[in-house]
Amino acid sequence: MTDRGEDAPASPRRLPPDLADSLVILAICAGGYLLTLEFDPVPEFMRQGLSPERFPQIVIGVIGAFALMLAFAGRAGQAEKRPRLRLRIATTLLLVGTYVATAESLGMFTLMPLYCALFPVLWGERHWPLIAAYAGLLPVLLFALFVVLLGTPLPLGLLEGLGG
Amino acid sequence: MDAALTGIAFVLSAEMLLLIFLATIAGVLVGALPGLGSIMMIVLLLPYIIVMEPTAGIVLTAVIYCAATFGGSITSILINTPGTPAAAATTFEGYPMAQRGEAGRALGMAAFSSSVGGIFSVLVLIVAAPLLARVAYHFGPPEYFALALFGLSMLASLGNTSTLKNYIGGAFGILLSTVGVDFATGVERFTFGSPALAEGIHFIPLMIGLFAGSELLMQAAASDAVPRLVSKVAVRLPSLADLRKVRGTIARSSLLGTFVGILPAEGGTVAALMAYNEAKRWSKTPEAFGKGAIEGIAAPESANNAATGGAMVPTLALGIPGSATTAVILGAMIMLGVRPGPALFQQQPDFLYAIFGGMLLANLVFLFVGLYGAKLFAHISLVPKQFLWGTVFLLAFIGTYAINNSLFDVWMMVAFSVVGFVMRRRGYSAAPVVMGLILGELVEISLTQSMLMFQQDVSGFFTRPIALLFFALALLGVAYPYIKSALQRRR
Repeated sequence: MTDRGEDAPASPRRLPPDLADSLVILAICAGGYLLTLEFDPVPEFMRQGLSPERFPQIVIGVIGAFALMLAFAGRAGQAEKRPRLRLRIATTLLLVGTYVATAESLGMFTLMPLYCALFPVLWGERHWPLIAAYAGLLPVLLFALFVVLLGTPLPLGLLEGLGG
Repeated sequence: MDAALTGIAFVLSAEMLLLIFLATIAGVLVGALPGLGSIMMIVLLLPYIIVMEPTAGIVLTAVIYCAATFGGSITSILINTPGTPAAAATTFEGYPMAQRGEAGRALGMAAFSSSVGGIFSVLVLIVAAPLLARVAYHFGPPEYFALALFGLSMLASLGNTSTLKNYIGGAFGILLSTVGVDFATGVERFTFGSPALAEGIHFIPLMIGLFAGSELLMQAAASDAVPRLVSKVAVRLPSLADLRKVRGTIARSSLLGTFVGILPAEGGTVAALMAYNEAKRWSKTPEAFGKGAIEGIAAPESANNAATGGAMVPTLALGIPGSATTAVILGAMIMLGVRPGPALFQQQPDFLYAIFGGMLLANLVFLFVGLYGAKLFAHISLVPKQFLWGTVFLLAFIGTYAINNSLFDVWMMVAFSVVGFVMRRRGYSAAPVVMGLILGELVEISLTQSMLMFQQDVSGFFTRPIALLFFALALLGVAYPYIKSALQRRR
């Protein structure tokens, strides 16, 4: 099967380049199919048309078929330019994950100055006055705009009571 | 007539004029920021749009769509970095012009041709969408099922990724649309016992994660090179002679862009590249292309903006997105309780005229913004990404949380950010997933209803000529990339 990314340079590997993708997708399909078998049964009087598990099963079957075609296709399209995976991705995820995890108990604005200070540092910024200004001003600006002006319900945690 | 007057009066109210003006400026600014764009801005604004008055909310999204498409040209010309994918072709001639000190001329031409292309396509939208809707008014479940399949078949041509991977993404989106309580039987599907999943997967965490979150992670992986503006930004705008020179190019490109935009899933990027190639083919001086030919700016810019109006035709008339951005706009409409399709033209024509009016005004506003403010706006592209993307995440957090006051939604957004990042690195685009999620419900409901109509006999579809026509078009849509690649090989 030809595809639109076929002009990409040929891979020196013997295995089809998207074989790993294909296997992962097929595994997900198998898991998804098993889950459809666990759906609650439909009462007899409601049984007409497609049963609730049938449509997802059809879609899973279609995805599985495409995944098989992908395994045997040539280079099926190019990924976006792939810079090497950097530690920065993991640290960024760790930072945003920690921030989200603490938002409910401590409030999203309590730790926002720390987040705003750490984010640019993790991304290589070293202009400290700029970082300090960003970490100091952005939380105030967002709080004034979303909480005070727009009344957006946000997790305020320790700052509960300041939102008016 | 009354509906048209009501719609136009709504758009011309002081509040709406201010909203359109501000949205146009914001759209141009966001379009000028590489990595952001109309999808990202609409997605980040969705939580606020869905609590707005529906007409104002949708006019806002349409205005941002038009303005951001133009905004992408600013950075294409000044820093050789397209703000949006649709502006990629503008770099070919825009940046060489800017380098030789003609940035003002290039920016002015981009603004003028974008505005003309955009206005032309809105006029086509005003005429074509109601006609298409009139035909679609007679559609039943089998026709809608076939139409939805046709829309999905056009995923083959969406973006620059692989056809097969687009189909896998689209089918994955459809599968995600089945999460939650089954509409017919009340049976829970893929909820893992979580009440938060019983209502299904919300558009907003998914879209913010797949687009904004994944881009954040892509940016984390990218290099730290800081773009620089070209040193000489000449202030001279295009002359009348320039405008005379490109009038044929703009006319052809506007037509081409509108037509390409109408095709579901084709968008401004394809339109702009096709128009650029056509401009070169029709030019008396094709050798000037690549060195700063002004027709090479007029063509992609008029085409990509014409594609915005074109893409709104199937979106409004049939409820089938014409592009990735209109898929997001369609999501916003559904969340606002507006179901696009033929009934909309019968029941809420004033709503549609307000959208048409808003888009027309946006095209006029960014003409002036582009002519006089583009060089100023270009400086926004110099905002260091260390500060930009940290802020984008906070806005994504606030927007996602605000829908249901739920941190579960925020975790969903973070999870879809990782999913989107992995998908993009493996060559899968996020747009098909969103299209699948939006069309999934229509596919399942119309299939279920059709099967009931036909008493579980699939051959019933063969008794419906319009459904058969859409099935044939769907097959053509699936085959199109292969036919195109075969034709290219033969050349």
